[in-house]
Amino acid sequence: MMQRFKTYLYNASFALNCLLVFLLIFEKGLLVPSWVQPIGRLHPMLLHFPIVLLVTCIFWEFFSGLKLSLKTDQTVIGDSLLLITALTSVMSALMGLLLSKEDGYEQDILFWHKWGGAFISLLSILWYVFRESIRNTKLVLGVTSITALVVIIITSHLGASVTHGENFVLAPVMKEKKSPIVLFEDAVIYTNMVQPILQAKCISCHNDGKAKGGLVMETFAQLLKGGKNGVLWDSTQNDFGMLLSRIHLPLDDKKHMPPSGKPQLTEEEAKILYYWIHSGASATAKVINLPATDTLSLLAKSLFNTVETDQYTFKAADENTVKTLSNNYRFITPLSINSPALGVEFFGASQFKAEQLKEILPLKEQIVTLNLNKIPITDADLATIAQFTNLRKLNLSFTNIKGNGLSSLTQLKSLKQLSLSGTGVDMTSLGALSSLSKLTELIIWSTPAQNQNLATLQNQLKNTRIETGFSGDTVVIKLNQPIIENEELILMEPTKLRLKHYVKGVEMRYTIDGTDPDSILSPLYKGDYLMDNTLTLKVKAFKVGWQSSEVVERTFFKPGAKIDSISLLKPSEQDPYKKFSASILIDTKKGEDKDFSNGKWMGFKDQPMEILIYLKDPIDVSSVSLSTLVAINSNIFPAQQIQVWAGNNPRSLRMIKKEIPVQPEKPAPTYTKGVQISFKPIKANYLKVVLIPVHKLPMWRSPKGYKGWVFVDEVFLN
Amino acid sequence: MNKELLEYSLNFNRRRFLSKMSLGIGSVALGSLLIPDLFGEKNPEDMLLAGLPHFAPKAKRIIYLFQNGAPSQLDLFDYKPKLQEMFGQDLPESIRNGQRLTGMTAGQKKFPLAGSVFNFNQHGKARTWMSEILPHTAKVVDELCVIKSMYTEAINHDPALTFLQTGAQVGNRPSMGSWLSYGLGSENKNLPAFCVLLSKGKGNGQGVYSKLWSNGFLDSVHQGVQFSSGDSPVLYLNNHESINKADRRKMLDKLEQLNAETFNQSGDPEVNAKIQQYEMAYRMQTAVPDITDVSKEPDDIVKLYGPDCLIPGTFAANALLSRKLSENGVRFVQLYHQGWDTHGNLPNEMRGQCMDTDQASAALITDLKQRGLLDETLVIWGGEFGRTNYCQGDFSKENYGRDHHPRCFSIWMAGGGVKPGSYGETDEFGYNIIENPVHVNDFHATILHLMGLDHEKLTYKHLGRRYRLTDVGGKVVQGLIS
Repeated sequence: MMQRFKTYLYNASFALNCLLVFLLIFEKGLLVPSWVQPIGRLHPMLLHFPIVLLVTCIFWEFFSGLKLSLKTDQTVIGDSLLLITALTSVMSALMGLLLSKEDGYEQDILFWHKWGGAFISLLSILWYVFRESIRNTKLVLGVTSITALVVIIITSHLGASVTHGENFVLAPVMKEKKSPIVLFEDAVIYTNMVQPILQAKCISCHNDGKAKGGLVMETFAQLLKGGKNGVLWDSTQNDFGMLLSRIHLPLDDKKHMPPSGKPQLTEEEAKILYYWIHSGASATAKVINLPATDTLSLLAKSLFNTVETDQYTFKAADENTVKTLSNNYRFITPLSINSPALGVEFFGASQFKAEQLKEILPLKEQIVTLNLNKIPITDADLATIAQFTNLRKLNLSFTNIKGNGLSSLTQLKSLKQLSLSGTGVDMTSLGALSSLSKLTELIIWSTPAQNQNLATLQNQLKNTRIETGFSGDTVVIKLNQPIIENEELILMEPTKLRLKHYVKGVEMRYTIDGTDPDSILSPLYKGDYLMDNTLTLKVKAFKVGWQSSEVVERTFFKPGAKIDSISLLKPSEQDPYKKFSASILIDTKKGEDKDFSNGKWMGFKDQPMEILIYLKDPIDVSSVSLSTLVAINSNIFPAQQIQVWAGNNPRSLRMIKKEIPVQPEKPAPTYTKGVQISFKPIKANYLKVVLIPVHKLPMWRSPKGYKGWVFVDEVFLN
Repeated sequence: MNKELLEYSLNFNRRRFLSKMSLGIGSVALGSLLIPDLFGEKNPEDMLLAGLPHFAPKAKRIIYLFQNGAPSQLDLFDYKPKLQEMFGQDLPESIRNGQRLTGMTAGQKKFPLAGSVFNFNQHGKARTWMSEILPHTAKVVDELCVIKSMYTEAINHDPALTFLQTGAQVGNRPSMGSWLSYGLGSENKNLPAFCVLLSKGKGNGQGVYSKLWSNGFLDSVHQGVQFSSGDSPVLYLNNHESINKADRRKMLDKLEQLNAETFNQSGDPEVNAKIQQYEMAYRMQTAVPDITDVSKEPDDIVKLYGPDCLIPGTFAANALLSRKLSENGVRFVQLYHQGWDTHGNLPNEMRGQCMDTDQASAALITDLKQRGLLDETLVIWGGEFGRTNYCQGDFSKENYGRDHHPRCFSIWMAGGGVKPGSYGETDEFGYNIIENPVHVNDFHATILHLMGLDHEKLTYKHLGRRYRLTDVGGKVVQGLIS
């Protein structure tokens, strides 16, 4: 039974091998119908059996000590192993052959894989057939085994390469080959942008060896030639020819390139090809000659370094050395992950000692930027700095350098930027830098050299941009207003005037007669002026080399005659002012500029504010002072008109004065304005003050002409 | 009682044993994961904790002059003569194209086009258009990269501001400065990596909230530290009156001993972090007053920034302070200047806002340049969205207002590897972008790129997924990079 089964298997193997040889001989004419394809596709599943079985056979035949003379269990097992190996081998080989007819495999590797497979298949059946004589001679057994082992290893490796791509196993540990760095300035569109794409995504099928569709894409001439379907690009067509139309076909289209299953073009790569062909597909055009806003140029930006980018070839410093030398006042850090270059920054002038600079000498090769801004180093320390030979950027601003040590910096051959602002360097000492050929920027703001003639220096440093920065000597700027620090505007007692200005060395002059202060005649503020009367103070700041400030004005009130009672003829119609009592006008509490609805201010709109003042014992009154508010953003303006009425009977008063206050002409921050209305002295029981709000706001404030408000917080009689 | 104590310590020891052991096993596992690094090059994601850029950065620090409230691009940078020609005519529907409106103009029946009241002139070698209300900025225009094609997704202040600052319209994500602090760490170990300065203009203002400089889910050391303008710029930093520096040192030394003991018992790394933070605060006590003191600034600098720079709390003072912080190694200085929300009365408010900001903004560029710092410091100036080309509310030739507009706005950047010139274009109505749009995510990706960080690799795992500043969007805009 067993024997008969084995015979069937052997016959099957033999027949299949014959079929294999037949198909291999007539391979050119082999067409695989689609219903057979799934059988071919099972090749990757089955192929592992013959591999393992063959290796098992090799070891079994070689090491199990079987002898021909004795038909033992070992030989029976060996026979069976060889037979199954032969059968699975030929099945795998046939399936593989069917699969190889499908698209998308690397033909070079496939070729040798195919013949390797066929060889193993034949070897297995022959081994089975001649197993007895092979076992007889150690040498023949050895040769057969080793041949089988070698061929199976090679063939299965090739098979893996066909499936997963070349170097699949070792790729993760192999260092990526770094292509030489191309600078943006040197990059050629075809060579450095287009060709790498073709190399990565097209050449595997369109090379001299394989040339699918008759197309080879290895050289520019071959690209121009095109394939059997015609040329690759044609600017006269809508779609710019075959190459672009094929890559933009839907992925499931048969003509889509690269074929599905192969690595596809990224969006950016497709763009590069598109814009390259658009721009005329030149073989020699350079990226740098494109307009800066050109899409291709922008795409190239991310691919190439510009000249400014440095490549550092020196070895990285020991990580622990860097760590130990970096501290709270000396920050040392690599420029980026994996960069050997280091940047060093010093902070905290008060903590600095000259040794701290010498301490980093172990890193002298790696330091490329050094920032000593505001650190008190001297010219002597420049000799230490000169040892940092790879330095690109050196900031020595506001150090104690005088300039005589600058000559030692000439050793810094790679130096690109040197900042000497706020040091003592002058034209003579800077001359020492003339041999720094790579220096592109030299900064000398706020040094003696800043205002010297730079022509000679510029001549010596042809490629260097010399930055002198801002000099305020010739610039005249307006001073800001002085600040009146007195907060109490009501003088209950003689009060010292307190003025403040933030700019050092200003003169503040003031007047109390209503005129604007001038820089010579008006009294100079010295801090001892006592205010004892109602007055309108005007202050202005002056300084040599500056434009004088705007005038700041403030009225101080001294309470005069006692007012016995005060009332409003009509309360305000507006919230919240209609709730406030008229007594807030004589409570000597000054309202703030910012918050005018807090019960210290009385506000009226749409109706006049009529204040009635009663004096039990009339005295001579010659003026009324009102503290009013101007807040343009809130439509609070000076009154349009102010009237003062007087008499002994509230029902028969007569107007004794009418004034029309000046209206503001442009926006201004909120301010308090003192208004004093003087008249011929009068003795009366009743005084009435009427403030009429602005009826229509000016155009610049309100195009629709809204009505204005009027605000009063205190009333005084004198 | 003794029994409980014994039980407690046994429990404690068992727990410690187990946790330490699992830590041990964990570290072996971790070690084995790290073995590939011994042979190959290091993986950027693993290196994130080292606080190093992924690749060589162009900029080391950022100063972001945020103009809160959204300045009108049409009155500053984006010159549109067509709007003046068509003054008062209705915005064609073909241009508006279904753009949603804010609640403030949704009721408006007409959208009268409003050309800028200001004159525009070309400046610098690049002949860049600038409004007459930016005379100082116009002088440094050759250093600037004016992006006219920024756009955002939000239409109201808070979401737009939050989006620009954190990459998401909802709150609680880390701010841009926090991401940079997390990605790159601090240069100067005596100062925080992320500082915030606030100022307020006279124009219509919008609030700023501390969520804008929040660390979100990142460690709290990455939070922005607000510097205020008073006597104590950093709150709770100064010693109490009754404590002098020597006492403070003594106290810290004792505290460190105590903390070290705790660490020996618990092995919790947070204890060490705490010690480090106490030490940093101690060093900040010296560093901060040095930096915030502007009294020693020379007259040249006062003239450069304008005399307002000596008045604490003004934009000019903050600009000067931002230079001093940045110069001392602060990674990210974030300024907010309020008052740009010009819904009405735009010409006057814009004039006022520019008076406050123009000179100092330009001065910052000049100042960084003359110190050799501009090439490594990225300066950004701009608001959270743009303003409409049509008028909101009352309308006259001299006075108009503009509503919020997310479809396009202009900002500028300078220094730090940015390519000077102008980038992007809007249509002749200044309403839609026609060339090189820059989304907020792209803007973030580009900034991170300039700082040497790959925006797709700067990630933090939180609530089961990895977050980025650009979340799931963003592309580096190569055209902005020199």
